[in-house]
Amino acid sequence: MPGQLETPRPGNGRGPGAPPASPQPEPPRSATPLLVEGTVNGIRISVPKGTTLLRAARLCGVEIPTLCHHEGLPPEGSCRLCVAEIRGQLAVSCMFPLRDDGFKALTDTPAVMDARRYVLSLLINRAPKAPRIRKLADEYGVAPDPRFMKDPDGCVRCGRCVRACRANGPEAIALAGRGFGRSVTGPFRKPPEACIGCLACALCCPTGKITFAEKDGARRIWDREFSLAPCPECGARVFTAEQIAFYGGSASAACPSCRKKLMASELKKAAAYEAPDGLPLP
Amino acid sequence: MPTPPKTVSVSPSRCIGCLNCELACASRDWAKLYPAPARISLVFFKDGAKIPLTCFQCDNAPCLSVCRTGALSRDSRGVVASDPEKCIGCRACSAVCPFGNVVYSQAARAAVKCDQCDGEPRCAAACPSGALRYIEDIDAVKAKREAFARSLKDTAEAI
Repeated sequence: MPGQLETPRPGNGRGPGAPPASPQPEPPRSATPLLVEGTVNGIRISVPKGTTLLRAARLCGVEIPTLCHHEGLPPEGSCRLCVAEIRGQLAVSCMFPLRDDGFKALTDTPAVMDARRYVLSLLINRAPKAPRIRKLADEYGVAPDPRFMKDPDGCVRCGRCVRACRANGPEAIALAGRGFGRSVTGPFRKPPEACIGCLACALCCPTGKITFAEKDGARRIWDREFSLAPCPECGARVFTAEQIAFYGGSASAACPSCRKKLMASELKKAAAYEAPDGLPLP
Repeated sequence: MPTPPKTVSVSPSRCIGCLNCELACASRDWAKLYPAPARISLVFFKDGAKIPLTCFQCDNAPCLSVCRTGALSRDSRGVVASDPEKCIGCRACSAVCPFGNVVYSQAARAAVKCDQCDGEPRCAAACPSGALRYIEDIDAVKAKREAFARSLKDTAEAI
């Protein structure tokens, strides 16, 4: 469900902030909580209506590999690794809401394994060096296929970075183009102006393609350089000035560890008046 | 609220600076006796004072209001807990916490903060001097009131 997390924060210049939206993929349609019962690989489970097949499988202890899935982000179903068989058909389990009683899902049939191997053979051509994909490819016995190998740049176009950026608020990056030309980029394929340098994209990237560097009090990401605001107390550089402004903080605020020290010195003043509590030692 | 709200009550004058609380907290997730990732920390002053500080579980928590993915949520005990699975690492919570009590951990790849160990805080259990106690909110206030009344009584008797 795209658009669920699009509420901008104050400081974004696009209206006031709203309480965070729940990233639950499919809220139950009925007002009363309803459960649906079925099996995953023969294991019986009862889950709230609308729970995704992936979540139900994980609750059963059945492991389904994923790349683009993130618990805190709306599902997109772009990596196709999480395919499973339900109602005799293949379904992308991270996007499949369980609505009917008596579902029977299978996650290790030959059809599922074939589909997963095929998807992996495409993914490994995009990111042949990514440790996570190499591990999966070894597990499933998949080798890179030269027919599809074209400029492997390490990005599998799963859009996790884009969704993280949208969830956080800046919406600085997006997937642009089609086919082999598709890539994650800023508007007009230029360094994204709305980027605040928070590093959420780099953290969410499953292949480690998005990198950043910090040097001489500056952070470089997406071909942009952000100066890290120095802490007025200790000079430590923790956040970019854009980040602080975007989150509604004060540019002259101290770094987290100095804030802790300032709070402690306030408490120390109060503790000077603290009467002995007379309680026994524990 | 189903259970009476409890809090990690801090009495700085009782703190002996042993760092047991930090070690107990750090060993919970990282199985290492290394205080850096602890959610509670002692702040030492040059005059010898020691103040243990951990999350206050603010009612109007800034960290909770900036979290966009539901990684931070308030549980039934009124405690703001962090779910590393849902954290996207935007560090907004860390940037807005007025007391520096939410930090982003590279090791955990998520924001970490005190969640009172699901109702059994290890820091309070490890504290040998009673500087940290896990007690009901109302008892924490009562203890302070009684302590103050006792000191008034002592003063009155001295006069």
